[in-house]
Amino acid sequence: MRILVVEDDELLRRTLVATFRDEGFAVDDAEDGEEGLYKLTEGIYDAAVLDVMMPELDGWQVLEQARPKVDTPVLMLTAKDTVPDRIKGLNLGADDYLIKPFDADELVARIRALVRRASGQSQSILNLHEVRLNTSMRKVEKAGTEVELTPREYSLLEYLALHRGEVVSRTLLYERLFDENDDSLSNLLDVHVSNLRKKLGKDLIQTRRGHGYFVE
Amino acid sequence: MKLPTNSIRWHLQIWYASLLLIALAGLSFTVLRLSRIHRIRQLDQQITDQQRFFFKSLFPEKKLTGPSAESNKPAPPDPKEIYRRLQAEHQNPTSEILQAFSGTEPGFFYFAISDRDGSILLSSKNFPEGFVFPSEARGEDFDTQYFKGTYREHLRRGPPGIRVYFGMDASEVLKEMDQFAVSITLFAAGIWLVGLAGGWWIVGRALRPVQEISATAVAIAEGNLDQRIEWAGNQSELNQLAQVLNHTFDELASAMERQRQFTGNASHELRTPLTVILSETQRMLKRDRAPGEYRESMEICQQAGLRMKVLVEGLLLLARQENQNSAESRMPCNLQNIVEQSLNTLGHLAAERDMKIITDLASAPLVADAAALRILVDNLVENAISHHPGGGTVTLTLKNTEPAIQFEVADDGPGIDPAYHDKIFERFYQLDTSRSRGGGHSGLGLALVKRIAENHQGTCSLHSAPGKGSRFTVQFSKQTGEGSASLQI
Repeated sequence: MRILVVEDDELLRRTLVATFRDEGFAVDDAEDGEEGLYKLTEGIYDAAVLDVMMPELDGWQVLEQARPKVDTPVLMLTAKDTVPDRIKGLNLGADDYLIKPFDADELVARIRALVRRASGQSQSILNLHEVRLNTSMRKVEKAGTEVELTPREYSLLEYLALHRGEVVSRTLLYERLFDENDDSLSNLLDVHVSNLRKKLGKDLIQTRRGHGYFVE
Repeated sequence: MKLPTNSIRWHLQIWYASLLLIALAGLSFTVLRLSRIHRIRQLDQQITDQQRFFFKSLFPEKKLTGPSAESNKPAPPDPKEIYRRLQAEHQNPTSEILQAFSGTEPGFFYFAISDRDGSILLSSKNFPEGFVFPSEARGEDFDTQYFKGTYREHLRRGPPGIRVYFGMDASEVLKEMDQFAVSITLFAAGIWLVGLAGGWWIVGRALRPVQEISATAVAIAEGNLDQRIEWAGNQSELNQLAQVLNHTFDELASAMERQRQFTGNASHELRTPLTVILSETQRMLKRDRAPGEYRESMEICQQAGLRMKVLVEGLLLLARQENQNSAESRMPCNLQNIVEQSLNTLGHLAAERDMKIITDLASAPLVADAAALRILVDNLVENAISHHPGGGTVTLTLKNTEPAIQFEVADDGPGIDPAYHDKIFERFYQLDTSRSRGGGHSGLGLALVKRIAENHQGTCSLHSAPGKGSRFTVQFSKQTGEGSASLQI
């Protein structure tokens, strides 16, 4: 999953990006509203975290201008916890909001829930034959035994599972699972796929040569 | 214990109820008394008239002198003679006189004649039965008038001991007087009650603002600061009080609002670094990390902590200035010395950023809070240095002219768009967030400068345009011996 963090405060931005990366997200960041709006309207993100209080273009304005173009789920970070503020956010099309200071785990959990809801997947258990994904716990079992996956491997598997039966191109996977800081020319993707096959069986992820990968 | 009678309303009520009662009682008593005297005088007049008629009839030969007005004092006939004539009259059954004294209808007249021992020598037919006349000692020979039961009687004494009584049945008159007394009492009681009710109403009306005031004060004490006393608009003393209190409440509400905004802003600014520390530590504690990662994380937390420190210090300084309008901390000092001390401390910062500082400082003695002025100067100079990309010049000018002392800090930095000139003095407003936030600025510096200048009756202004540098000017008026300031980047 690839998300966007728009935060003008450098320290907080660094912390948020690191937190999401630790959890296996591909994270891009933007240091002001303008950059955030530009990146958000690219439409390649599964979700976005937007700070409300930013100079020049604030979070509300970014959301207002982005909404007609993209429907990416957006979580607003705000320091104001007044009811009118919440109503304003929900009216402008924010999907969720969190008040500073927040719990980092809660932020991650909320972003996951937003992504899950947006993909039309309301339940958190996905079954692929004998492999079972628990998307809320981010755990994978094979035939009842838990299998250790790196966050990146898990994200790849989850993305394919959520688009079960579709061929997902390598470009799309790079776009959705890797961020600006990853080298898209490397064979990272092939490494992750081969690791997954080793851990979960070689038939789980199939290759459609020249097109991409898919799971059945 | 709270009794209703402890209220002002009750005190007033009891006071004027008593006063009114005394006044009405006194008045009624006087009226009754006067009317009674008048009525008795009328009775006596009637009896006297009747006596005159009697004497006239009895002594037809005696010419009574004067008109009726003088009839009160006819020359009194000798009682002996009266007795003699009456006896003669008694022999005459058709006597007019005896006829006239025979009725017993209300208000009838009677007469009787007795000797000194009180035995009746002769009486009219209608003389009330059972009347006894006391015997008298010799020598009492004056006339008297008195009530005997419901009868009014006049007594004439003659020297030989013959006494002539004339009386009248006064029962009707007495009844009438009783009735009059009752109606006067009722009337007075009625007035008293009306007076009480009216007084109760007027006092209630006059005291209503007090109730409004206390109700409003209670509501405000409960936290509803928007409450105001409704006043009728007339200029009574209590309404003036209500106006004064409303004004006080307005002041209070705006002070509270400023306080609320201040704490709101402060907590808002503190939330971000707090979030950084919490998220970062939470993240790092999830699993074991490489030493380099810990180091990086500690640095992030340290920076966030430092930023909170700067913020809290700025807030404290500002809060202190907000509450400072006392003259206690004002001492004679020289702004020139303060600027020089500031430059000593900030010199290394200028050197670090390769900034040149040019000074033109005149001696500027004034009466002020030297510590506050030092904060003002430090903030302006530090801003000029740290918002400059480096390698430029900051010019400090201190002029001591009439009528004001003027302190200017000018730089050749990037300048500030005039659109932001007002906002820049607001708390927590930062033009360049990416640089200043990392650099340990609280966003309170210029708000502090403005506050301090205003505390010294000074003004603070800014002249600047993008690319033309900035000039902050602070002016302290000399008239008050305190200050005024204007700021320019």
